[in-house]
Amino acid sequence: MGASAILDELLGNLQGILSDGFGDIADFAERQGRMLAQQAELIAEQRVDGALANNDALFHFFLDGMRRDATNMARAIAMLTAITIEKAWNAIANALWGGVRTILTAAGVPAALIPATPPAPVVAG
Amino acid sequence: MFVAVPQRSPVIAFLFVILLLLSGCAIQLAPDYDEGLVDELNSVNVATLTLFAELEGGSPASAYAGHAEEYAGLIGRFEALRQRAKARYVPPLAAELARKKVFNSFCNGEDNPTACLNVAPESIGEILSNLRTMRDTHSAGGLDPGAVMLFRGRYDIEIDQALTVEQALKR
Repeated sequence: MGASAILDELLGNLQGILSDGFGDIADFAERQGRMLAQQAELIAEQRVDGALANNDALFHFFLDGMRRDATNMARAIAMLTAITIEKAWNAIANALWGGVRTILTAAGVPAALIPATPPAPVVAG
Repeated sequence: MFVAVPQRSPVIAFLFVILLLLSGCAIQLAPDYDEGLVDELNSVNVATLTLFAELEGGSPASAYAGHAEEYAGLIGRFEALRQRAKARYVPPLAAELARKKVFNSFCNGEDNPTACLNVAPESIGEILSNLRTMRDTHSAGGLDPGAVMLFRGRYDIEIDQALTVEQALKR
């Protein structure tokens, strides 16, 4: 195994992860955006002539609720992005680790001395 | 521990150095997948959608007593899920990142400083607020079909957030 084989594996893994990850995020954002828009329309309709016409407290509850739901949608997108970055980073680390491991093993370094996956980093608390 | 490095070529020694450098490379930015939490979330979702189906034609205040136990059961189950999601382990690297100033205003939930890396407690918190307000509205003056649609609209947004992020943790 050489540098080009390691690079091919790395790019192959990365392409799938990024394409799936960002595809899922785009689907989620579109779905949530559509539901929030429908809710805004419903609040307006019900305020004009419906359940919210004579109920200010409930009207404000749904308005504030929409703001909080939109904030949580943005937080969820941040979380899904973090998960995609995590997967991409680990795919790179695993491809490099696997390549180096293969070369070292072929060169006679006992496999038992080289862990199968890169360990997690230590973060000072 | 003494490790004998083969002296075949300087390349091998170089690769060993790379191996050591890579030892800090695997990262975790979000909590582990919790299958029990996802199963219970799916189960309580079915029960909540059942309540919405019962009420979608509207319901007078006089009919509230017949649903009081259902409301209490759903609120209790969502509270337990919120506690479970809030109490779980957030990886130290992620917690460290969430404390950075740039994320602080946006990512700091009411009582969840890592809201951008553990969103479910926030979304479930909104589900609870929605169900409690629906229960109180029902008992005070009844629910007309428009009000049920509004509560259902919020619920759909919030459960979609919670289920999507929890499923995404399966990696």
